[in-house]
Amino acid sequence: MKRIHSILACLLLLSVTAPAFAEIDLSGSWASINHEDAMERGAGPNPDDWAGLPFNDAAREKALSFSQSVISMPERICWFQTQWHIAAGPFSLRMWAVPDPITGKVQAWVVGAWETRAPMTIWMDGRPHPSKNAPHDQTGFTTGVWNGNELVATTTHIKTGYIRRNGAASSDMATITTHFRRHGDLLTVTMFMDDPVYLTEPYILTRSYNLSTNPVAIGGPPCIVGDEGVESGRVPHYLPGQNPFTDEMKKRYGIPVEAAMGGAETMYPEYRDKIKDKFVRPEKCTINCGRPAAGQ
Amino acid sequence: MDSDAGQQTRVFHFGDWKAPAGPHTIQGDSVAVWEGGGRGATDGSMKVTTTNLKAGFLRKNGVPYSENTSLTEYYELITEPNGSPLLVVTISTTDPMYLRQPFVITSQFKKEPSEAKWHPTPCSATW
Repeated sequence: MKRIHSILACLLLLSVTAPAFAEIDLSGSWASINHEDAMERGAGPNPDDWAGLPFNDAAREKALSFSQSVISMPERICWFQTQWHIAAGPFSLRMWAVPDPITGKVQAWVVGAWETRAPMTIWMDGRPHPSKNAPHDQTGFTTGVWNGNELVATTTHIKTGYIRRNGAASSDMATITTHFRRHGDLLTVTMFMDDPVYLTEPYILTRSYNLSTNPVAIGGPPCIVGDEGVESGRVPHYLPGQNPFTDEMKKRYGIPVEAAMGGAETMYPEYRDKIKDKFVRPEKCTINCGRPAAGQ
Repeated sequence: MDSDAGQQTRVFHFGDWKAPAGPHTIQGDSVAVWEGGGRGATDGSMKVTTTNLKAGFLRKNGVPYSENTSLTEYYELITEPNGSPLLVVTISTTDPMYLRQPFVITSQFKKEPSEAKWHPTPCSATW
């Protein structure tokens, strides 16, 4: 009997201190590996390049009205990005588990903040998402479940944001689903953006991270609104038909305008057959050609 | 594994398979193991390690890899929110000759309902 009590005590202790079966430890600093999508994650994409986005017409019209100077509005200089910025931004991750103070079980996983993105708190305690009428913000509300070794997080209640940093928008009806998969010191994050307002299919991005012994900073200095040349109250934009960059991809790379305007079919390889007769190879690539530009 | 460009077939060997001695090849020698939940599991992955590659290009703009390169790949099935399967492949390339750290990229593949779009074509030098 004494032995049974000891075994029960051990099992009880294990249930408090050890994660549930098949969960894995995601905690630590994960250094971003930006070996692909360098422009999108770094300096930013070309204006009016929406190829590969499953846009609908409303999304395209909204994007065509976008002026990059919007982020210099005093009202938006300190505007946070949504959690989609994990996929589309350049930064590393720092993750940690928050234990329940009573049971010790993992109550939430947290993906630390960046200067331009609030932390993602992934609630693991089974709590429901708020009412669809609850306030939305850039942070959103995220819950998670384990699928064996995979953490699957679902984010709702985000405000309108972007899916590409050149005006391609997501709506406040969007849902972000994030899969965290660890392979030793390598972490692969797959993110799905489902948006009934602007997308006809899910938009999918994947990213990789290396476990790092260098701690990744979370957050950043407080954002201070300064004068970036756009006076308060003015909203930089382009009226319909007045966007000056619609043929930018054609001029730079010979890519037909219809391809640059995006749409679900531009995500798939067979689309190349559709436009191959319209592609005109430029005589010389002058910018973002896979090597430093002349004079750099 | 076949792809529809180039008609090169890759063979992933399980178990204690040993690569035969011989010259390096375009596809190299690949050894595979199941990790996590195992074959077909949505939380598992197939890890493939490839060596004995001929030298080639990491990017089509001339970035090279040497014949000392080794490739570690993770093939994973992920279920999309709408229930569709998605294949996510994470590829880590290690090359002591040309790289200072592993070069890592990921790709996603949507499952087609049929082979209607499957048109393998031989490698061609035409534009």
